[in-house]
Amino acid sequence: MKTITNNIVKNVVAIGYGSRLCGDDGVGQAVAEAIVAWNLPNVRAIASHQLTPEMVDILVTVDLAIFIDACPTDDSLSVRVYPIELAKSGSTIGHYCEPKMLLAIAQALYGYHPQAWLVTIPALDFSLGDRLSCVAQNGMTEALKELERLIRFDTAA
Amino acid sequence: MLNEAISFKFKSSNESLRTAMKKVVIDPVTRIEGHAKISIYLDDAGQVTDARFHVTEFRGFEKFCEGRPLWEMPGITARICGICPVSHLLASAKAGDRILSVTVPPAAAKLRRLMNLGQIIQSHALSFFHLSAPDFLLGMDSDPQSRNLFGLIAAEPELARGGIRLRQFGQEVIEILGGRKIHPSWAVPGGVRAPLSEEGRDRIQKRIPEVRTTILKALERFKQLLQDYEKEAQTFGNFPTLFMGLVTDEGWWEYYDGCIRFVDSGGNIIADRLDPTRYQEFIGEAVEPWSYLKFPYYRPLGYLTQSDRSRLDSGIYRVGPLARLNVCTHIGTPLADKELKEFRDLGGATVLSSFFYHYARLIEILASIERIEMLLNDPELFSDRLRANADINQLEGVGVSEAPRGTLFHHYRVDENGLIQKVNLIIATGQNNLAMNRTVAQIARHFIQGSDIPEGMLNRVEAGIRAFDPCLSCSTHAAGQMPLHIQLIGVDGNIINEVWRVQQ
Amino acid sequence: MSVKTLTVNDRFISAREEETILEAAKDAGIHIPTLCYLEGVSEVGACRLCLVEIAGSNKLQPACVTKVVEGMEVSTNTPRLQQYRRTIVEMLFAEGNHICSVCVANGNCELQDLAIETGMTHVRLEYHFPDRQVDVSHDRFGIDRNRCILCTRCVRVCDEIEGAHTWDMAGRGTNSYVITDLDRPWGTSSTCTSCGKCVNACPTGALFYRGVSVGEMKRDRAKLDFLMTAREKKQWNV
Repeated sequence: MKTITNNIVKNVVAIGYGSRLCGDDGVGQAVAEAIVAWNLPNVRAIASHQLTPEMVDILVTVDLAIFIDACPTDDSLSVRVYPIELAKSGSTIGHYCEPKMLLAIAQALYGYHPQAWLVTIPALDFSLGDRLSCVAQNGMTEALKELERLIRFDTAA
Repeated sequence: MLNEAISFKFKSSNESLRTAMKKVVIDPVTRIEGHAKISIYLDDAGQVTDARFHVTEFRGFEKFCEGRPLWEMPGITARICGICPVSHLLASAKAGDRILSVTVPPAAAKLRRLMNLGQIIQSHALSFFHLSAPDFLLGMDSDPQSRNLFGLIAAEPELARGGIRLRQFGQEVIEILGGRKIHPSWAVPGGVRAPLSEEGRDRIQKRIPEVRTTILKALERFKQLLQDYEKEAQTFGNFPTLFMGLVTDEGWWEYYDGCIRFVDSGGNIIADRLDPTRYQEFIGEAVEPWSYLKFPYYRPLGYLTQSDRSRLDSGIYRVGPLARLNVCTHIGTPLADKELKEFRDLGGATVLSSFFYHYARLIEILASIERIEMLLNDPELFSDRLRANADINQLEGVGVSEAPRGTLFHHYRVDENGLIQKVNLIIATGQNNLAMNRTVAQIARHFIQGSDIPEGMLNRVEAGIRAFDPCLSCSTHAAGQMPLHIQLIGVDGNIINEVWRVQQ
Repeated sequence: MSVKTLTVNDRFISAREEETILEAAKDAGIHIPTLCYLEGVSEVGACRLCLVEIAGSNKLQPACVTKVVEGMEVSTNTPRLQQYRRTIVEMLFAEGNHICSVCVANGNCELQDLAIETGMTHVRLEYHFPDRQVDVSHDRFGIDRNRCILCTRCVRVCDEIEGAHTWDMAGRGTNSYVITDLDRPWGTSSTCTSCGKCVNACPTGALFYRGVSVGEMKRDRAKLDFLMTAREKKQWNV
């Protein structure tokens, strides 16, 4: 139910992805699960092993999409937030998709894509197990702050 | 096997110094350093002598399971792969059934079937519509900038949307049975945990006409295109091999239970009614120093060694959609059987070209939709007897099921209390390993001359591998993604040409 | 029986003389997180999750074993306590091998619930990766010590309610572990009556019914309280 104000609450989807059994690769899902616990009425969080093309159907129903993924560390250990551009038309997809691909598919098929951000969390250890390394754990805390900010900023009037 | 694989890791570096050979390396880069690459060896005259599909990273997944109670295995193994969790779930539950020595209640077996059909549709739809269709629909030599899903969407938007809806349909079947979670531990040793609700049945039923129309249209479109691809059909892994798959007692198409059948390229049944749980009697698993992916072969005909690579009467076999259609006599549903007949008109007794894996996938999607429709009308589906209770009655069990990519074996050994001692998984991509190697060699021989790496050859190697829809995440971490890194290596071992094609 | 009045989080509440802060708060509808506490058996104050602040004392007190005192001013949810609790939960995670995604208790686990309740987003401590044993030799139950948090609920229900005292503790400090009989396989225990009270008491996935799969383990804690009420008050309320 929407309240009658000038601010229409924006719908948000947060999609965290990666393998839950490959160490830090699962940090995206862990973040998504933490967002579920926020219980925000306008925010849907999805934890998934990988991005799949049918997620396009969710993307076309939201105003803002935030993707959360692990990223093998370079020298810097910080969480990064990137605006996502549509993938170029020259891209190919495989068994997994990238966020920009999903957006581009949404745009191509339905003529719409939401505004989107990619939050990458530094990751060190991809060995079997569902433990997150300290780097990924710190990244998760930082990422959750970024997400809160993104959701608040982007869905505020 | 694990130790062997590890010890080979060190030998492999010397191996690459093989002299008097040029080498082309196609090296896919995956998201997390999983590695599979293709090397093509050239002789001094620039002619292709051999090709190898390497898997250069190994994740000791089997190790992770040791010491766990048997009953947790379906839930654990379903998590090794995001591509076909249901296939592992079912094979694992079936291995558990054997260890408990139970026959699962009929309703549970039917519900498991239903979920497997959902998995086949979902997986085949991704493979065909999103990975492979651009190659056919837009042309193998068309501009790589538009030879992709977007080109497809622009050219055939209805087909592209249909592909997404088919995937969703398969996914919905899985979710209605197993719950919202992506990795349901819904199938368990002895049966399944939850029934299908009538409301769930209605939801699936309602979508059947739409998805059936979608797949029939896609089949029509594909068949129109076939004539343009005669060359691909000839070169895409078009060689005689055995085919292996499950069939029913009557020899019909099977995807969950049944017996193993091998046919040769002449369509002759060379082994039939094999008990899949005794796979070790007819499948050997060779290990090569240059790959972590094992090389299963049909044991009675033996493994192809380096010296007799050109021999054809070896134990090389293929699994997956093409193999399943080649080993069965009928599918058992009217529309799919009609398509099967047309499909068979393409080849002789069997359809040999791996190119037709795509075609076979479309037919299997149709067959799966028809099967789902039949299953939903079965009143026994709603029985509330869903789980046979028993304890450890055998210390070893093999679970076999057809995954979208081919026959999947889970083999467990437990102690007398039910803790896992040893795990062996034989995955579809492994079983197609020999055939993938030969496919790459065939394509390379056709297109490579000298030190040039023509764009069209790259596309075809990529597409040739993609025909098998390889997925390595359960045997290694590498995904089936194939951005290419190609190295042309001279006689002295130096790189004389190098091409990267990375994702944009 | 005299009545005491005290304040909990600035709220006046009354309590019976022999009540603990935890019981009094519970009666007043004030939630204090617990883990080793289990209704129906004795309190041990071992897990320290129910620590509260009491005005006039710098020392934190476990609510489950601290009796109410007239005029006491209790705070149950100060930032300091929140910080403490989060750290305790992190330590529990770091000490064992808790893999929620493939655990039988996934979704029905008090440790998991506490992680959510205390806002634990990550474990700041080094994981210990202890080498611990799984015992599924019993024909109805199993124990995975990787998931044991040493709350001793199983030890207490077995001793105090069933009276069998099959469970006990062995080892010291972080090397402690629960044992059956004299550290013999559970299936060979001569004292175990196979009543299953320990399985109902376990807060995590450490004790489970043999044959359960991932996320399937559900417990009936009310059973234990029912038994104690029946025994002590001769009331069989269902």
